[in-house]
Amino acid sequence: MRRFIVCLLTGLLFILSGCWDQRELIERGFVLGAAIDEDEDQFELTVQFYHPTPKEEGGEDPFNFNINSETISEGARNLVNHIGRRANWSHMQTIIIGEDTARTRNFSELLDFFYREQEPRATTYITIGQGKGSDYLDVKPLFEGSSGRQFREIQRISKEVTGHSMETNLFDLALQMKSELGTAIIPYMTKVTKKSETAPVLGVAIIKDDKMIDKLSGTETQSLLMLREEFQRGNVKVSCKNGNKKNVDNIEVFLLHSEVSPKVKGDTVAVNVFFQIQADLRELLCTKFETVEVMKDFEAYIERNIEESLMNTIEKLQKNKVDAINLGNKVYRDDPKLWAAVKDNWDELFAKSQFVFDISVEIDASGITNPKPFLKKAE
Amino acid sequence: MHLFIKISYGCMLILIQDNAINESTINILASFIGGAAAMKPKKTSFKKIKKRTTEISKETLPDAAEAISETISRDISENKKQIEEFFLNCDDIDTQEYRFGPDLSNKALTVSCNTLIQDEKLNYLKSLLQDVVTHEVGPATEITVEQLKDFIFQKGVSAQTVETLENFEQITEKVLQGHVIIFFDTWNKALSFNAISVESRAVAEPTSEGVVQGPHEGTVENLKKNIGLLRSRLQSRKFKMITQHVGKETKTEIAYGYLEGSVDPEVLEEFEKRISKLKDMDILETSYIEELIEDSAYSPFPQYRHTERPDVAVPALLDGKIIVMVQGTGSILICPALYLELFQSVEDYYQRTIISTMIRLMRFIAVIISLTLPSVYIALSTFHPEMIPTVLLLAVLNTREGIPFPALVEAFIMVFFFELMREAGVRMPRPVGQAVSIVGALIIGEAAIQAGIASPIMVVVVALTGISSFAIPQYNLAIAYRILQYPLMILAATLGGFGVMMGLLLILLHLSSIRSLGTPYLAPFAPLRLRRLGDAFIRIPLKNLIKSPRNHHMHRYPKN
Repeated sequence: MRRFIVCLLTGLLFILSGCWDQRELIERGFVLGAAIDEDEDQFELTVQFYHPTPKEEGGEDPFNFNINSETISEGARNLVNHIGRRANWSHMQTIIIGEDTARTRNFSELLDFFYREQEPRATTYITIGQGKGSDYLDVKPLFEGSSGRQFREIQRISKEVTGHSMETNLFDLALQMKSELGTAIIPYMTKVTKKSETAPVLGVAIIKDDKMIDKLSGTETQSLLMLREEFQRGNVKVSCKNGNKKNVDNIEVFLLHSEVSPKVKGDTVAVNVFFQIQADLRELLCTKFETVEVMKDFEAYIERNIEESLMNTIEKLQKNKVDAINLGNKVYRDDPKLWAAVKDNWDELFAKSQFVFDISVEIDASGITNPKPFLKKAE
Repeated sequence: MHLFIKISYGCMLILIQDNAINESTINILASFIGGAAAMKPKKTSFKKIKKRTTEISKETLPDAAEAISETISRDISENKKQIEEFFLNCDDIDTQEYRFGPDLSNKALTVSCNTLIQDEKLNYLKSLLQDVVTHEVGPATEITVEQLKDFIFQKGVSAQTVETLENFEQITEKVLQGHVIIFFDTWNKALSFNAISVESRAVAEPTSEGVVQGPHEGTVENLKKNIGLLRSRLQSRKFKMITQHVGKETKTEIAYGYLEGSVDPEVLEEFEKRISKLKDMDILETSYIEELIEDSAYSPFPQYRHTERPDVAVPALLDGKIIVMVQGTGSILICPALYLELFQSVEDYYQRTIISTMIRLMRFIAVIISLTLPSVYIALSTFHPEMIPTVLLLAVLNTREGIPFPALVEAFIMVFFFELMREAGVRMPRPVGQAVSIVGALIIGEAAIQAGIASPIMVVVVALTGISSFAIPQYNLAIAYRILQYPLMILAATLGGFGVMMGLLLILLHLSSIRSLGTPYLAPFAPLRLRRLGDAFIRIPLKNLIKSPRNHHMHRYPKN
């Protein structure tokens, strides 16, 4: 009898604590991407489902399905009524928010469902799309099987290679929004139709106070990322020194070492920017490196160029009074008490802050040929 | 799923109860309807029949030992009659009468079993007489039985080793062991010459344990030859070999050996205690002994090792193991075995240390795959699809679409197909076996997918499981793992990853509770013996590994 009870209890222990969400793969619909737009008073939630096809027929494209509802979670639940499979959010690649929606609606309202539900991952990428978000899901993917996955890959690669955008997932976004500053940057996507329709991720959208307030272009994003000390590498155009407007020299810059340190003194903020940059020559059309002096000159010229573009971006941010550079967080990290004192007035302080640049560029390589315009006949 | 299990369990219970009711009600009914005599025997249960047969056998069979206690008579014709009575209907027993001596007045009788001495052309009587002639008397014509007696009693040198037998029990025993027995008139003793010669296979490489490098000798079905193979490799007087005959009917010769000084005396004592209980068991193969002396009979895990290679048995002896051999089989039992040793192949010690280490690690991975892969697949696909990488998941989704079965059923079908094919391949005669493998490969590889019974990913899972289990050197351990994958699959389908984990924990608990002849099964790990881990997952160079005695970790006494 005792043995029986022990066996029974052990069995119960198994059954009661096991996982109960047993469901076959063919009973689930896997979500690859989602887009959130506003449709008058309601939300329009567009969900991209994977469409599994048996045997090797090349596979069908994933299909998009949209549903209108008052809240996101309601829409997400009610999907089932239409599609006949239980939606599984665990493999969602991207969430796209339409720009109009992002500018008018609160982010907390848009994304709370995705943070709270257990299935979506914190590593889901998030993008803001010009115009309507759902349009982007319709873009035909080039390499990947679905547009949702394509946007995720674009984000990853473009940050790494060109520095024209950011890589932001739900977790990064939460970290930024919950930081002291509360500002965040999210990749910004536009739609380009040439021979085929593509949606490049270029630039970032700036979020402040739960709403999108501004966007930066690709080159501005490069400067922003440098100032945020998140830049890895990217191409920089340098116009010809001799005033030739037609030609440019192209270099690729690598941010080797960076230090951006804000100093608060009374009502003024001074920011020391120290960059150590390595430059590789990519395209050389007007400059010829024949002596060390020429090279030194060119390095100084690049330094000025970079400083100029940094200043452009800073001025734009200062005009908008939004500290997307993360200076406020740095002040907080260095001195929380000081931050508490200047916190309320930070936007004004940032708008008036002074930047001091110390940029050193070193030309490191000229590719696999000598540092002169290649096809030009030697003079 | 749970509901389903509960319902089916309930049905089973009801069925069992139904059976009980049926049997008892029928019995009662039968006893009431006494007139229906024709019905009655039909309804008697199997138990009763069984009981009756055992009763009959007890009554009719005479006690064998009682019949064969008669002493040898001085009258040779009496003895002949007796022998013929004993071996009634045993047509392979030859009796032959001879005459010798002055005027051929002395009678002699030889008895032998002609199937056991096939090759023997020698006439033992003649050779014995010749020996006596050269040593004692002159011409052969004058030899008498008395002279022969003297010769034997004084242990005269004879060409053949001779034994004197006192009674018929000994005689029947010796005849059936392949001896030639000679009776002489007026002498109440018999002489016995060992003349056994049964065809035995030539020493060849064992098919189940091939090696690339190393000796290609394997044991045969002849015990003496096998012991010889061992003795020639281990020329030490400490190597003890104890033989005994067991079994009431078979009288099988079994032998166990150990290396004195290496073997743990406590283990040996325990072993001898257990083997002494086998006196009356008819043993036909070493695995009989394995099962009769092992600790946990219901465990799927083998607690002793089998080998057909002398170069496996000898290092085992050096390590302090006890080996058991049985006449008529080439399989050597090595006991006690540790879990770890079942993963070791003798070639590990013949290859370079890095190579052996890599191969060993590969085997451990193979074990994990063969045990868990189907259940992990089921758990991931039915409970945790978020754990599968997206691209793989989408590929799996494509293949799963259109399969009517749940993952568990699909897995069961495919694993069952595989086991079926494996078993058929082993049992079928070799020419047919080829056909089996072709058909099986087609069914599993192609047709099942085409027909929509299984998805390609399932085929990959099952094939990988099967191949991995074949990478385990010990065949019975591989089977143990393949059996254990079924409960794990059920746990995975009902409780998900949690269930798999529970199953693995239970297996681990079980493994750590097994003892093989009193030694803990998971020995170098639990209890942890750091020094012996050099020959566990990895194999350290022999320079550091082999020390004499090889098992000096077991010698607890001080070294001076």
